[in-house]
Formats: sequence, C-alpha cells, structure tokens
Amino acid sequence: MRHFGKLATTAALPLWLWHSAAIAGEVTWWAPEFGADRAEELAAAFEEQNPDITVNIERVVPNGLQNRLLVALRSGNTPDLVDIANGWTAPFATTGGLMALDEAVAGLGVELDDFLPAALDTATVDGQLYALPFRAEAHAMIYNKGMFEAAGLDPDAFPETWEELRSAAEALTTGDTFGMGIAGGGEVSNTIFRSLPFLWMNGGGVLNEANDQSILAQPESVEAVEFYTGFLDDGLAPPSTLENDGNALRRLFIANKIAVYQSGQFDLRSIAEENPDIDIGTALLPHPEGKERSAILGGWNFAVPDAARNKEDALKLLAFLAEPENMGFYTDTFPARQSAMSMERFQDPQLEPFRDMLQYARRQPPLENWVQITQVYFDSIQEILLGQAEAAEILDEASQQIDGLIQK
Amino acid sequence: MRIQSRFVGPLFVFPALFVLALLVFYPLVYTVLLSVEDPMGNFVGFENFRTVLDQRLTGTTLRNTFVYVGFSIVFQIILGTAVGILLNAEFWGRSALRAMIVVPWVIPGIVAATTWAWMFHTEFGIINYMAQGAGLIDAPVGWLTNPDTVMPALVVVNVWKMFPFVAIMVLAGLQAIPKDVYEAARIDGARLHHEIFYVTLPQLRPVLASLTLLLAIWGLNAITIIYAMTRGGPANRSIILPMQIFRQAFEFFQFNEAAALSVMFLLITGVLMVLYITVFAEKE
Amino acid sequence: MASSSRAVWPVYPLAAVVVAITMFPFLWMLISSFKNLGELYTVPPTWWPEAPSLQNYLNVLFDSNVPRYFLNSVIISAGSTAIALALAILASYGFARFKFRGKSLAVGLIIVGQLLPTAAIIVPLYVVLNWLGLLNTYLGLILAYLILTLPLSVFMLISYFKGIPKELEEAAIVDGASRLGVLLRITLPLSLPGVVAVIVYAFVTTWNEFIFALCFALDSGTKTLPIGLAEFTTEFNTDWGAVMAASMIMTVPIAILFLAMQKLFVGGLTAGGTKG
Repeated sequence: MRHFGKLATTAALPLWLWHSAAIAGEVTWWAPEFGADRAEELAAAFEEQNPDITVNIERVVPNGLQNRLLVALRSGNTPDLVDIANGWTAPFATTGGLMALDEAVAGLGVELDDFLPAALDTATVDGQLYALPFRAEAHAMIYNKGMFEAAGLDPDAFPETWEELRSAAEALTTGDTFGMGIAGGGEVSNTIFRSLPFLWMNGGGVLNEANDQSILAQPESVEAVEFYTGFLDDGLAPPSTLENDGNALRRLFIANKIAVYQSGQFDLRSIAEENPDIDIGTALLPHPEGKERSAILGGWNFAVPDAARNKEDALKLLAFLAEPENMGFYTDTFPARQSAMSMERFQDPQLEPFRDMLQYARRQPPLENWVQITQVYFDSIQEILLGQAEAAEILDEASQQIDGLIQK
Repeated sequence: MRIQSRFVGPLFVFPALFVLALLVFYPLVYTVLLSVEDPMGNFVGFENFRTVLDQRLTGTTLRNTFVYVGFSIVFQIILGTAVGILLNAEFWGRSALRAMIVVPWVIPGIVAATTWAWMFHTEFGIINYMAQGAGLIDAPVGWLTNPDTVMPALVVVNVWKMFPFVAIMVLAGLQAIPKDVYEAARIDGARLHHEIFYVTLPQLRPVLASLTLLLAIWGLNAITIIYAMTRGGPANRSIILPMQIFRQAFEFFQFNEAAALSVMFLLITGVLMVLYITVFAEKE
Repeated sequence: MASSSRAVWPVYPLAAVVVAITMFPFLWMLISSFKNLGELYTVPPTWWPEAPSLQNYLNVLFDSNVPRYFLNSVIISAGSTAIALALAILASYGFARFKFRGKSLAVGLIIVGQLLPTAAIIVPLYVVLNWLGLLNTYLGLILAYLILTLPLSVFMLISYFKGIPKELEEAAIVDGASRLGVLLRITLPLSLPGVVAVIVYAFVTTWNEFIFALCFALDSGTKTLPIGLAEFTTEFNTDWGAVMAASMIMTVPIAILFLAMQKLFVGGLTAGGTKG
C-alpha cells in the first residue's frame, strides 16, 4: 500500500481551487501586471486615508484577461474593480455585467468635463457610462534623424502630407534600409492601429458613422489602403512586412533597417536603451492634402462589475484613483484627464507629438463583433499585401462579408 | 475465482471509464447540443451550420487542413521509415543516435514552433542566410508570409517534430521481423533494395498502418505549430480547422458557431477513420 | 539487426545528415539564447555569440512570470500523471485479467477516447469546466489532461500485465491475498518498466500541452510554461533572445527526464502502440 499512499498525497496536493472571496471593508482590484507595482503604491496611500478598507490587488496577466473577465462576469465571481482595455468596454457593457457609473460618478464629484471626450466615448454605451477612463494614448511617427540627414532631408521637418511621406520614404530607401515600416502581421490589432487611421483621415473607414454598414469598398477607403500597402508594393517597406507587428517594427528600427514607423510612446525608451546611437525623432501622422489627421484612441478604463460584492468601497477607490495626480501616476502612457497632463513626467518634448495626436484620436466602433470584423479587414490587408489581386476587388468582397457580420 | 471476477473486473475498470465519460462523452453530446442552439439556448436547427458553411473561409480551412495533414503524414512516414531502417543497422554510436533523434518529438511543440519561426524569419533568420550563402535564393524569402511557401514550411516543421516517433515505432517493428525471413531472401540472391521493398516494407505494413492513423489524429489536433508560427496567416493561407474553432470560440466568443464547426470536424474525422479502418481491415 | 550486417550502405554519412537535421534547431536555440539584443538582430546573423551573455536567462528567471509558470507546470503535470497512472493501473488490470460483460464495449470507448480529435471538444469542455467552477484552476487542467493521457496509458499497461504469468498471482490468491493486494504487491512491481513508461509518457504529454492550457488557464496562477512562451512573443519588451532562453529552460528538464528513462519508455510505448 505504500505506493498508493504516495500517489494519493501527490494527487491531493494540487487540488485546491482558486477562490476569491471579498467581504465588507475589502476591495479586490484586478490590475494588469505592467502597472501592478504602481497599483500597490496607490492602494497603500488609499488605505492610509481609509483605514477601514483593505485593498487586495490581484496581479493579472493582460494576455487572456478579456477571456478571464468574461468568465468572471458570467459566473458572478467578480473582482470589485478591474482595469479593462478601452476596446473591450462596449462589448462587455452590451453583454451585461458592468455597473452603470453615471450616478455614482456624479455623487463622488468626479469632474467628467476634465476627461478626454474620446476616452469617455470608449466607456459610453447608449448614453450611459460603464467605465472610467484612466489611460489614453495614440500612435505618432517615430523616425531616425540620422538617416534623414544622410538622405539629404531636413531631420527637423518631418513630412506633413501623404505625398511628402511617400517621397521621403523613397529618398530613405537605400539598399538594405527601408524608408517606411508598416505592420502586416502578428496580432490583428497591430495592423488595425497602424492602418485604420489612414482610412479615417481620408474620409473612409471600415464602418459608416452609424456603424450599420461597411464603407470599406468606397474610393476613399480603397485609396487609403492602397497608400498604406503601397509602401510594400513599391519596395519602400521591408519584405518581412507580412510578419511584422509593432514589436518587429521596433526591432527593425533599432537594427537600422527602417527609417520611419508608427508606434506608441512606449517604444521610445527601449529604442534609446538598446541603440543609443539613434537620434530619435517623433512627429505627427501625415495627412492627405487638405484633410485632417486621425488616430485610434488606445487606452484603459476602470470598471466595476455589476456582481461586485463591495461596490460602495470600490467606488471610493475609483474616485481616489480618478484624482488627477493619482491617474497621472498610474498610467503607463498618458492620463485620460487633461488636467493631469501638466504633470512633470509628460513634459518630455519627444512626447509632444504623441500628446498632440490625442486630439485627433477616436474610439474604435463599439460593436459586439468588432473583433470579428477587424479579422476580416486584417485578412484583406494581408491579401492586398500579397499582391495577388486588385485592392478594390479584395476590399469589395471584405465589405460584403462585414455587412453580413453586422446584420447578425 | 471465475464467478467472482464477473463483478470484480468492472470494478477495476469503472473509475477510468467514469472519468473518460465525464470528460469526453458528456462534452461530445454537449457539442451537438450547442451547435443547434443560439447563445440564449433557444433551438435554432441548422442555423449555425448554415452561417459557418456560408463563410468562404470554411472552404479554405478544409482544403488547408487536408493539405497540411496529408503532406505531413506522407513525409513523416517516408522519412521516419528510412531513419528507422537506418537505426536498425549496426554501427558505432547507434544508441547515441537513437537517443538524439527522439528529442524533437519529446520537446514541447511550442518550443519547436518558436525556434523554427525564428529560423524562418525573413530578415534575421538563419535559413535565408544559409540559402543565400549557398546561392539557392537571390533575395530573402518570406517563408512564413509567402502563400507559396507557408504551407511547405509548416509541413517541414511538423515532419521534423513527428518523424522520430515513426522511426522508433518502425525500429520496433523491424526488430520483431524474424531473421530467417532475411536469410531466405539472401539465399535467393536479393540485393539490399530488393530486401527493403520485398521483405522489410511488407512486414512493416501493420505498423505503418496504425502509425498513419495515429499521425492523422495528431495532425488534425495539432494547432500549436500553426498558432505559434503564423496564426493561420498570411490572409488565412495556413488556417486549419482546429485553429478556426479556437478563433471562433476564444477570440470571437461565438461558442455556438464554434460548436457547429466542431461537429463538422468530428464527422469528417469519424468518416475518415471508419473508411480507413474498413479498407485496412479488408486487406488484412 | 539482421539485414544490415552487410555494411553495404554509407551508414555514417546518412547518420550525420539525420543528426544535423534533428539537432540543428536546438543548437541554434542554444546559440541564440546567449546572444545579446544587438547581435540577435544583426544582418547577416553571426554563427557564434561575439559576447556570450547570460542576460537573456537572467531576464527570464528574474523578470518574467516563467518561474511561476514553471511551478504551475510541475504541479499540473505531476498531479495529472499521478491520477492517470492510478486510474490506468486499475483499468488495465481489469481488462487484462478479467472477463466480463461489456468488456469489448468498454475497450471500444477507450479507443474512441484515444482517437478523438481534442480540438473538437475544447468548446464544450470549456463550458463544462466553467459550470463546475474549474476553469482557471489546477484541478481543471489536471482533469482535462486525463483525456490526453489516460487512453494510451491503459493500453500500454494492458500489454505489460498480460505478459506477467497468471500463476504467480493465483498462488498469492490461494494464500488469501485480495485482488488489489495481488495487483499492488505482485503484478505492479513486475511491470515496473511499463509503469515508468506511463509516467514518462503522461508527464511529457502534459508538460508540452498547449491548447487546453491556452483555453482553460487564464491567469499567472494557473498558466503553464508553453503559454508563457507564447506570451513572450507578443509582449511589449520581450524578444527572441529571451524566447530562446525560456525555450531552453522548458526543454532541459524534459530532455533529461526522457534521456534518463529512454530505454524503458521506448519499450513501453512500442508495446502499447503495436499491440494495443
């Protein structure tokens, strides 16, 4: 029997279940790992002000968080406060499970006027607020000033228009460096964030204003897609484009393989660390002649689940976190409140274009099956990058598929 | 003892069967149920199947699945058998070779996939560098992003991962062949290739047959390599059925449509298996 | 053995080719894991690290979730292997030693379990685990992994048990031992190679498993190493050097386990695969 005894012990060891029980005076906050250290500091400060409340921070892995939260919302075993990417807010709010915050926020005296309107948009469904934005960001252009000089371009005057960007990319493409890096691979969102703004600024897009029809086949959209994919077609972007996501583009930039690409401000530090020789320039996204710039608003919101066990204290914590200086401390990029933008850490001149892009930024359409729609859009971009059929033809078909998805 | 055994036998077998029933047969029945319901749990007949079949993607997926699994099996069997025969030879260092060759099969699929993805990388990959150095290609090839090379590249990785298993099983089969069969052939003056084609391979047939079935099952199941290397891209050129099920369920959260795909998947594999087993059983 | 005593064919060149094909990716993984960032992303690639560095390993060990995932993997694989072994021993003994009504049906069910494409049941399994409250728990993954390991384990052990003479057991039964006692004290020790084969098979299979873990483990408390590796390639600040280092960390334990048990394992596997 000795054998069996051992077996039984080994088998029984891992049989405990993950369990989170919250009681009055305790608030459970799911904070993604990248910000969890700062969350701990804020929680400590909050506990000092509110000695009767304990904040339990659970560090969550961003990868799979959406799935995990979906399970939690369905089963009712939820945290009291959770950070969610702004793109998930509308789907979660539509399927139910998030608390409407309008009254609570008014009661707590949070000044919504101070928030970036586009950031509030991401948290609003049918006129009701389901989350409170705390982090906001938009892409800008990152470029290699040294390469600009070598190509005879002014390193302090980044192209303003699409045409200028094209000719700069041509000038910058030499042998094994490429003028422009575009995303065409990896996770779908990498390509969405880098290409969709071009469609928007040209008056096109994936969906119309009412989000009930695809406008992907319209000339404005086709033209913008062709502008984007044209960098590869004409040899101005590296041949690896179809496997390049944001990460890969940064790698290529660090390795001096590309001169220009779009990304968020989080890339700046790692470029400076890994290749200090690069003189980094940052600039606004170029726009079509006579038209406005555009960008997708990225960022994160705080949400309180409907099934939270301790809503009252969760809301207190929410109000605390929404204070400008706390929000400015917690965010990885920019704060969603404009008054927090004056904090020291956001004053780096290199960040200026990223901050300015925020005023052009819009949310992604708040549709429940937006992920599925972006997959169709992404597939068509890849198809065009492969160059085996006309862009207009491919987009026309994608547009029909998307219409089918919307009608469901 | 015989009388008692009628009750004792089932007692021994019961726990395992119970666990399998709970984890396999219940979900199996549940899949069918999910596939004819909407997210609210209302019966919708074949609506989910229609939605899935209407997508042009489904056709692509089916074709890719057959290409991927089919070609993988062919090369796994050929390479595996050849290596198995080689391993059966007596030479210095044979046991070291036997140990080494099994490693690709033992290591995690995700490790194999990421390592190969790195080797296949267009800009920084060693494969392009070597091929260019050897004058095989002029410019870097986007192995995983070119529609013409992505499937072959994935098949190469899958073959590399699984041929050791075939080799080991073939080796075991070879060692079970009685020596006098070869001696008889040799007395008849058979040359080496005659020996392989007329003696060795026919003797191996049962082993190869069951291997083919196992490889087909594993191939149909395996999304690790494709998930980690291409995610089904470029433009769905390498998406296979299990990957689409995964995407539909865990990226789009459309569980009912995913269930409809699963039922189709089960039917296809079921039919293939039955076909295979009948054909194989007839020949025996 | 027999056919090849005539050394008519170029065994060594062929063997060299096979070794090159099988081992090259590992070598490249190993070499890459010692390169620093700048060197990894140089064109053309270097064959040998110019300034070999342990930085990638340090990053993985101290700056990522990999140690936690390693622990999760160990617990889940060990737990699942233990349960699979216990269930398989009982079931195989029942199949090998007894005749009973419905036996062939029971064997058939286990064969179906073995042949079933698991991708087809992830969706309902997800729903079932969620319903049982087992999503994102160790127990949930441990149970799910039984689907993968139990059927073949049963077949491997059946063939071992059949190979042990009944007379040994009958003598013990005459002396008054119970069936379970006989199994544990006589049959099992004699089938040790088969038991080891099952352990290695089940452990390796669960250690390497990807899809179930991807769907059913949602947080760092339950995610396993393969998921950690997949995450590495998508996160902001990680890179191929760290991915290769993490790959090495994942591969080494399994390679050692396997090489140590190789003889027993291959014996057990071929027995189960060909006869079962």
